[in-house]
Amino acid sequence: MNIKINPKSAVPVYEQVKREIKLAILSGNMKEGDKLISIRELAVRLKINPNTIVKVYYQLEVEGFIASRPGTGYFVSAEAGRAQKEKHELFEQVTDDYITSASDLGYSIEDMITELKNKDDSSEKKNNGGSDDKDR
Amino acid sequence: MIKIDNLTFGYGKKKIFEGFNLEIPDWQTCLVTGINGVGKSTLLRLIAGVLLPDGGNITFGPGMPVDPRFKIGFISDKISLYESLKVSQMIELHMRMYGIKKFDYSLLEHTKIGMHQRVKELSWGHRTIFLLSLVLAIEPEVLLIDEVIHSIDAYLRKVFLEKVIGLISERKITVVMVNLNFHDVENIADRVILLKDGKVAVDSDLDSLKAKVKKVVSSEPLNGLPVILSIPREDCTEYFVYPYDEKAHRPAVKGKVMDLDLTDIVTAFIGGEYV
Amino acid sequence: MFKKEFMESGRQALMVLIFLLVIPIFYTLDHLLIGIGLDYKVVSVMGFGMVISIITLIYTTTIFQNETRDHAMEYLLSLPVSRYSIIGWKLGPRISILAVLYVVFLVIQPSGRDVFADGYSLFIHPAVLPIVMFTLLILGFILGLIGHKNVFMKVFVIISFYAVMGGAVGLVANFIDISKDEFWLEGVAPCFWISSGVILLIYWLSFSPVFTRFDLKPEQLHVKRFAFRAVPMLLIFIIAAVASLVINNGAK
Repeated sequence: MNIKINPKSAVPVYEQVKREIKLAILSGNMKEGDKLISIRELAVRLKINPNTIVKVYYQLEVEGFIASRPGTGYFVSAEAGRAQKEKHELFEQVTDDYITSASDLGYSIEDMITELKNKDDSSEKKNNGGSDDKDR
Repeated sequence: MIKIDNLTFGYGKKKIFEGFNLEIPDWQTCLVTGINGVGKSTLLRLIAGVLLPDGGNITFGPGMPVDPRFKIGFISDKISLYESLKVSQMIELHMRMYGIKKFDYSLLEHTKIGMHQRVKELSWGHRTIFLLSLVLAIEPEVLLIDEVIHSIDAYLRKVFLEKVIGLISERKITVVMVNLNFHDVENIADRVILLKDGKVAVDSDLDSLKAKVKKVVSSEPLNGLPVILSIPREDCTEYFVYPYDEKAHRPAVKGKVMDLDLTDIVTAFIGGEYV
Repeated sequence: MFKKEFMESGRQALMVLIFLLVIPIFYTLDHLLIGIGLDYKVVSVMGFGMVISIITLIYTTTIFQNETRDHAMEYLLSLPVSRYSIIGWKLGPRISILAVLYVVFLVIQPSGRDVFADGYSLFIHPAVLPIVMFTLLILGFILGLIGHKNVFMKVFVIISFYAVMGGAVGLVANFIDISKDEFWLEGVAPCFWISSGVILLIYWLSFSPVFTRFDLKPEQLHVKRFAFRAVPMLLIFIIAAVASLVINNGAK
């Protein structure tokens, strides 16, 4: 669990942590049955009030991402991976962030689409180049 | 719970607090800040019982003993201890005074503080950690920390914060911290209180503050926005807006609206006093 | 804590006694080698009176010496102990030792007035000495609380002490006929009591915040404000004593 908080962002810390954990679960980095680190430990690592983590874990449990086993801790629940709607919402949020940052730099949506296409081409080239190397 | 009711305190003619009221509920971590000399440390001392109020009173919740000092852990920036005593003697005195049966030496062992060293021989960082271990030994319900965190080295700071956060998590204590430097501590607080002229000028949770205080960078003057501080720069002006209303204000802004961290927010509030 | 304070006070008293042992030693040498000097009884009594006064003053002016030196005042006040207990620990041992010394004094001092040909020294009259000690206790306590660094306070306390003694002498001279035989037993002590009482009342009125709620504030007290309250009252007292002296002598 590698979570980073952006202190300058006005997005509440609670939101940031929740989003990061959801991301980790939805992307498959954290799989069903994986144990989340304890509330105390996460609070210490992020230097956040344990209260906040309690809220995050509680909310994640309500939304079905994690389940608590009394005495043992919190674990990624089975339904988590199937939350496609959540995944899409998260994707939208991530996209919004990207668009905001790029706009701040002065780039338009067209510029962004061009850049994304470039990235796509170059990664294709890499894959092809890689297979070329293999062939050699 | 800490309830400060109609508190009055001052030295001679100069009154620091007059009719001051504040209530801090259980399990809340409160960060108190303000300019130098506004009375933050004095407030902590009054809560700790080290100073006695001139008027009004400070009461605690039902969980506290008759003499609340049994369960108040006070870490002041003076790190007050009997300096001529050895570490072991100081611990012995402390245990006797508070009626503590068992002392946890793990912190001292971790930071390699020797039992036979005299307190005055310890470095400031070690003294701070030593005082922390003494305070933890009384199993406090209320923890008062005056800006000590940033006078010690980065490693000891990490140790200190870990212990405090652990304590908040395990024992659900009420914490009041005084800080001028918010690095490392801003997210530990549930509530931020800014003192000004002996009164509470700002009292809010951090998330609301971040939503309501924004920096607008613009080369044109802002009209109709509640600006609390403006700083002219070489090529533009930085305007600190409070309270910022996204719907109402964003259209009126011809410039960039930026989010702030706690340091910037507090700077905006107290900057107005100097400028 | 009580035990610690007791050991500390005992040590202080011993130090003073050792230092002032010089008086009887030199007197003895003096007496043996040269053959002049006052009667041994006189010296021991006067010396002891001095010793007790000095110890009293040291005791109270250093009452928080440990805490001031060790920067432990804030720690002490944050302990779950009442302010009265703290004063109790500190004054208790000291007053006990002073009481013991006073009893020793009563034992060694010869009875009546046959010490001097002309009578007792005012200050070591057994009824007067406790008053002197009490006054010194209170004055020293204030000084000890406010801090020795305050030169103004030190001078002020000394002046007050002189005012007590001076006022007493003034009263004595006015109301007692010196030629009377019963002078020493009847008139002196009450005069000192009155004089001390007035001064201590003045101090109480001026310095009551220091007395009633000692805490860190004395360090930051604007001492001058309190002292200036006391000054006019002290002046009035001294002037009244002197004036009555003059008037009385004029009438004679």
